[in-house]
Formats: sequence, C-alpha cells, structure tokens
Amino acid sequence: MRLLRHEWLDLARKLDWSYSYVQERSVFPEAISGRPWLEQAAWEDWDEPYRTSFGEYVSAQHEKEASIVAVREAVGRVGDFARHDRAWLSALKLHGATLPLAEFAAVIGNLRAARFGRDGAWRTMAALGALDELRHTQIPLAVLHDLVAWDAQFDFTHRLFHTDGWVAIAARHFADELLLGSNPVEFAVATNFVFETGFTNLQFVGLSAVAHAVGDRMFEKMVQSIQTDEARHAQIGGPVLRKLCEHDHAYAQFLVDKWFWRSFHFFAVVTGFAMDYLTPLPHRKQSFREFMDEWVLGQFERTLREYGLARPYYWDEFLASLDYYHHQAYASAYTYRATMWFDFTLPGPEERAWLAEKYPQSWPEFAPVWERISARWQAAGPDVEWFTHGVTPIGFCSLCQFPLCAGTPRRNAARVVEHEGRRLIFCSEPCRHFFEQEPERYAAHETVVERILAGKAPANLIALVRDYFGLSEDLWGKDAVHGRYDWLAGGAAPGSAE
Amino acid sequence: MSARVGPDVARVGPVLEASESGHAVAAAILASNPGATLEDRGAYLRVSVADRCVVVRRDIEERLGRAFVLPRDLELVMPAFHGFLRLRDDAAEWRSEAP
Repeated sequence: MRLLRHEWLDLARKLDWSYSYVQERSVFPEAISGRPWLEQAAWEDWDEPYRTSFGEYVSAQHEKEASIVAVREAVGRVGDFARHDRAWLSALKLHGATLPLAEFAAVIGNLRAARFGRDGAWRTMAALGALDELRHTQIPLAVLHDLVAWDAQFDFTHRLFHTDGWVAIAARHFADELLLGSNPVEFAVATNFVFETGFTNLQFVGLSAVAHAVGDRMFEKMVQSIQTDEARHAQIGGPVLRKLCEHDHAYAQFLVDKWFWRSFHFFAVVTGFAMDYLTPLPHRKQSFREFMDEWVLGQFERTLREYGLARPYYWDEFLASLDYYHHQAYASAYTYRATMWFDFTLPGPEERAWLAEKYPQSWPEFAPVWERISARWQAAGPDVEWFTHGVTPIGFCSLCQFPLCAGTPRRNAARVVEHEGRRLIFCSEPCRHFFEQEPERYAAHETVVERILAGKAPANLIALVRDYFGLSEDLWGKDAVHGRYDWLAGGAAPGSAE
Repeated sequence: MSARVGPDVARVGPVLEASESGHAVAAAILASNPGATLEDRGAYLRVSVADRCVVVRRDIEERLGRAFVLPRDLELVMPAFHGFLRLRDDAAEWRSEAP
C-alpha cells in the first residue's frame, strides 16, 4: 500500500525518541546544544514551514544546479565578464572573496545544529542547510575563481580568508564567532534569523537587481539561486527565537541586538560599497540606504514586534549610521586601496550628485573629502597612485576589526576602554558594549595595530601589505582607471558643480 | 490576533524570480488577493498584500498549463519573502502574525 505524503512526512523529517539508557542531558549537553536547556517535551511543537524530505530536497536542488550550469554555459565565461565595467568586477571580487568561504564555515555551524539542535525537524533542516552551504561555497568559487587566468585579483576568491589582510581579519572575527563559535541556539538566532532573513537578502536578492541592470546574468542568477536555499533553511531562526523568547527573553534580545549590529557592519562594507560606489552610475536604481529600507528595516522591526522583542537599544544610532558608516569606510578604503585585492573608483561629479541626492543629510560632509582627493589626483597626474594614498597604518576597532569609521566626519564616535591593563579602542558605543558583555570571547584577539606593536606585523605600510596581507604589487588595489577620468583632465575644480 | 488595519499594517508576500513560473505565481496572487501589488525589479518580482497573502496551487497550474508541486516548485522561484510562511500541499500563505 502506498502511503500519502502527509502520512510518512514527519517520520522522515521530525523524528525524536525517548532515551532509556542514557540521559537526555548527555545526548544534548548544554555546552554544545546551547541555552536555555529545556526538556525534549518543551521542543515538541517546534516546526518550520517548508517541511521538506531529503528526497524532495535532492529533486529541487538537482533542478537548481541544472539551471545554474545552463546559465554558466551561456553567459558565465571569461568573455562574458570581460565586457563589464572594471568597477563592477570589483564588486564581484569583493563578493567572491568575503562570502563563499564564509559559507563554508556555515556548513560547520549547520552540521553542529544537525546533531545538537533540540528537535528532529530542526536537525533535518540544518542537515539540508549544511548541504546548501556547500553549494554556496562551490558555485561562486567555480564561477569567479575560474577568472583568475584572466585577472589575477580573482585569486582572492580562494585566498582572502587564508591571509592576514585587515579585511580577512575582520571577516574572520565576524564569521568565526557567527558560524564556528556559536552553539545551535545562538547560530539559529544569529545566522538563520538575523543574518539570513535580514541581511543576505540585500546582497543576494537586492544586488541581483543591480546585476540585472548591469547585464551580469551570471551573477544575477547565481545569487538568486543561492538565496532560494537560504529562504528555506533560514526558517529555523524564527521558531528557535520564539522558544528562546518564552524561556529567556533577555538572552533573546541580547543575541538579536548583538548580531544585528555586527551583521550591519559587515554588509555596510560588502553591500554598501557595491551598491553606492562600484555599480556604474547608469545602472544604479536604488541606493544602499533604499535597499536597506526595502529589505531590512520595516520587516525586521515588525518581526521583532511579533516575537515580543524590542528594537535594538542603539536603533537611533544605527539609523543615523546608515547615512554615514559605509561612506566613511569607502573613503577610508579608497585612500588605503593597496591594502585590498580589488580596484576602487573615484566618484566623479555625476556620482557625487547622485550620492548628494540619495544622502542629503550626510553627503555635504563627504563632498569635500572627494574634492580634496580629486585635487590631489589633478596635481599629480595619472598613474601616481601613492599621491592619493595613506602611508601609515590606521586604527582598527577592538570588536569589529574594521577601521574606526563610525560617527561622522565631524563627530568621532570612537570609545577608549581600559581592560585588564590593556587600552582598547572601539569604533562605536555598541561595539564597546558588546565587547564588555562577553570580554572572554574577544579579549585575546589582536587588531592589526596591536600586531604591529607586538612585532608580529611590519609597521612599514608597503612591507605590511606585501609580507603580512599577502598582496603583491600586481594584485593590490589601485584606482580602477589610474586617475584617468575625463572629468579630472578638464582642470575645473572637481565636485564644485554641486 | 485580530485583523489589522491602518498605515502600520504589514505588507506580506513572496519575492519571485522573474521567470515563467515566478510570473505565474505573481499573476495568481494578483488575481485572488484584493489590493495585491506587484513591483517589477527586473531580476525579481515583489508581490505584496496587506496582512495576508494566499495563493492556491490550482491557480498557478492553470496559468502554467502544468503541475506545480508544493513546497518544491515554489522554493525554486522564491529567493525571499515578507511575513510568516505557511505551506500546504494545495496552497501557500504569508501572514503578518507569527504562528
């Protein structure tokens, strides 16, 4: 007799049993399974909406793979990428280096939940999530690293996380805690709920619309396909968060607050750069801030309210930083571009007019920065990269490990704290706050500057970039056109049109 | 929770790949949910309805002229959604209130 789907489904995906010769606490130790530790009966009503069996998963994934292979055959080879603007290629290099290997770390986070998650349906979805994340590692590595024979900077698709560059240090600090160092409860709230339902939509769906406008069908289809997996396994997050809210409301709020702030800094750099600077102007539809509105803000607030949680305590500071943080980070990165593995564009009068329209509050404070950089390019002429480049190492945040880029050009938001005889500096109040909540988790980590002071990394910037960050001169970031902008050659003071 | 009204009401629904199946799901929703809106962003379609969005499998199949299996075929074309999702063999639903 053939069983109907609903008759066998839960046996295949939500199977739990009572233990007779071993304690439940030994099967799911709190140190690995996470807190609050609850009896199995408390998890019985746990469920997620996709309710997929392994067979159904394989069938769906097979179709997704076939579709990606077809797109790659048609429009995913060197010749297709060679048609793109160099700035857009930089957006791909940034994506390719920071995300695929982080997704590989997410395999491990998911596998931990596939064993130590507290409900059978949770464990099943986490097992599928681990397989998803393998795919999210392999597809972009195959598509983007394959371009290395044509453009050596694509080597960082594989290499970034294996170097000690400042972006690698910051990305590892974030991804290691998020994906490797968290138990299944924290992983569900941090990765599945905050990161995957909030922020990855920005980079994998929002940016797919940008790729569509640019004409990069390969990237468009690749990231959308990846996000169809994320939309499914991210559904672990809500039901875990709901259970956490019932039993330890303060801890639930803490995890949401911490991971929203940490994720924001990561995506402000990765997605903020791509949307507001590296996308060629004619193809821009919305600003990073507008994409944040569309994908994160209202939806995240409403969802928190549904679970009885408050907005993170730093919400006003966060909203203000949407107008500033990634702009400060980009200006800082442009003037230290040789410390990264992709090329940067100098926003010209038209780009600045667009940014002024999109960021009426903050742009008047950034326009003079770019006017000065433009004036220096004009004075030096093309190809003189180091005339518009910093030469001494800059300060990094003791929590997020990004440059001290919070606040505004007029208001420094950095916080200095004495911690067990060490002087720590944080880019912002929330970074200080989250460090002080769990200092044992972070205190042993050294920022780039601390490594230099300890003699572990060279202080000379060229030696630091070459010997410590792993960037030779042919790889390190330059101005995308080496200062040869038509608008710069004219001689009029750039940016004065505004 | 009771029905919600007013400017703060959540708009819920799927974000769909701009493919044949994605367009069929969007069209089925637009036809059966009063007040449903569609934003075409080139790479994706955002369909949204105030408070509650429902799509019946049969309506999608009629538009496509072939079988549309839930949850599998919806997953293939849905990279994201707003609201809380409920899936049955014969329908999909997005609601503003948590289950």
